[in-house]
Amino acid sequence: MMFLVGIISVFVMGLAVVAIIAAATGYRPKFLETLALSFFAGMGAVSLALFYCGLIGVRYSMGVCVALFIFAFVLMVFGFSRGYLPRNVVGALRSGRGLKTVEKIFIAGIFIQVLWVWFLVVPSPVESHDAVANYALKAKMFYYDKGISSGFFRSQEATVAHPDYPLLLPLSMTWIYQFTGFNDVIITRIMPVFYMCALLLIYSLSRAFFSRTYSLMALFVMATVPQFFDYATIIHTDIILSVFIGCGFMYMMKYLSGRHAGDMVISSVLMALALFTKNEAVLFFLMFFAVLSIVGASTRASRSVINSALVVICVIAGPWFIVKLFFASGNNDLDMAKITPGRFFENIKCVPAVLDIFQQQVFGPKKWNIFWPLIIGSVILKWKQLFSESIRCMTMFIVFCALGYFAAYLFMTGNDSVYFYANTTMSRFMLHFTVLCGFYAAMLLKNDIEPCLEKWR
Amino acid sequence: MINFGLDKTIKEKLLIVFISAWVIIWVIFLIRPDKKGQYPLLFKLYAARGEERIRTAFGADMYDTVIFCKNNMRPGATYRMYGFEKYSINEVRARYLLWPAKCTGDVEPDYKIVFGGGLVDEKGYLRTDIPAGKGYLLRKERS
Repeated sequence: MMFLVGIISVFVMGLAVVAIIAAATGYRPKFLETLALSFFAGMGAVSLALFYCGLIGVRYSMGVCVALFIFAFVLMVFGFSRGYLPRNVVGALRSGRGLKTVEKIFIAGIFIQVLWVWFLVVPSPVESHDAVANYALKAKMFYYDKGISSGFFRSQEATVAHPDYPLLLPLSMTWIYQFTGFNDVIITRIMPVFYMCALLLIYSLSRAFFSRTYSLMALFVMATVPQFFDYATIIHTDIILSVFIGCGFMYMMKYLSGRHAGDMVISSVLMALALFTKNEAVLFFLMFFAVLSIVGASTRASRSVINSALVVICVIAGPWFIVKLFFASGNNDLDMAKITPGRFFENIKCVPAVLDIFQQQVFGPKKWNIFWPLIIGSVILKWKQLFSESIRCMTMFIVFCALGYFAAYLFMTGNDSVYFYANTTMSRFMLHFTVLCGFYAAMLLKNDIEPCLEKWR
Repeated sequence: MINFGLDKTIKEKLLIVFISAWVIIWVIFLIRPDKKGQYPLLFKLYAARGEERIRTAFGADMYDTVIFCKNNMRPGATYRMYGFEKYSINEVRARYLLWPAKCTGDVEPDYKIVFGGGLVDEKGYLRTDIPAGKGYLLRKERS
């Protein structure tokens, strides 16, 4: 019961953030979009709130959380009363024509998948490797220390894995613990909630570009990618990063096609939250910034809106990076002194081995079904469109980010460990691209599949 | 120039083939256990309650051993572990369970936990055997 109260409090915190964005930009999110976005914004809000409390020495307690909750609740009520947030829930769900049979089948498939995720998660405590080594251990530390202890960021690697890792997930868990007490049996249920909200947001965003049938088909494919739903059953940040990056980019595409400043602001909020989720987001942010600069210069996109988006990212993620750069001990997986051109050239002979692991992932159905053959097939079939006006910024973004990941293997790992790192991380790194690439393929194949689906009853 | 343009009928057939293949593979890998013994463990977890679920998930042997050590250690003390492979699942789970005791790389921590067996410098430490021959716990003697 208290877990539910904790989850609701996250939604309320997020609704306050969405109301502020709506009030500031004039953007009016739809019901499903608001619901999903409020959970993501809520995770960001609670984790950043606890992060700041931890920095200034305010001890974590139910009282602090309730005070923040009441403040957010007032903002949320204000948002609803002023019409910044959607009020007509029944109307929003009932709008449009009735569902076609094919749509019902896709919805049934998604529903089965969601139930399956819950079936796997409900009895499972925190147990997976990275959860106990990193995220859940940190949440346990923050809960029992009632804050971020003074030496936390300089902890030995033996004490806690990667003290320099971003804290969105551990602090979100700490927030829930304030309501439930320390309970690492039910905290895993935060992930299916995240998964369901991710599906809702992906669907809402798809509807801005595609028909309902095509959006549901794309969502069914995304929801049932084994690697995607597997990561919704354990406490890991990879799926969170994938959703934040993918949806953040979709909002940017929505901005470029519709030019509403609110889309760009939400895009930047999600990108900033990605930076507070996982270190790899830095690469995505740099590429996002580069693509935005190129697109901003070559289209009629508003310079001021793009600048505002970058300011939002700096305001949200900046304090974390100050702490990380000046107070955290270095990551044992990343020794900057060893990143040299020499190492790159030394590792080049490992490229075939890395590519071999990559092809095993691409063509192995266990983790990916036929998701990557679909992506590659759509790129081959639609190669003429890859640099068309509506697609080229996605093409650039995906290619540059993928090259960045590939270069990271060659720069950041010692010659004897490239194979080990590639073998243990490749599937997770590919997950980071899943939402993004799924949307990319859906865009490429839109004109071919949409007319077929429209004929189906 | 190669043109991959396909006519409408072929597109529709390809779409049906794709969706069928996707659904078949989805169902197979949805039901097939991800790792050996996944479902028996899952049903045991459903039958268990509270802390017993963690004991079941982590393995009773490992859990009982670590909890014995935790109960015999001062909260907040430092310790080193021996007998687990570095960063193995059992090592990180033990570290997780033992918090607020802190695992450290120091040479002379407050405690040394030796899982299984092995040679560890016991000089200056008092030994407590872990039940069922699972190893032993060394507590630093106060100087």
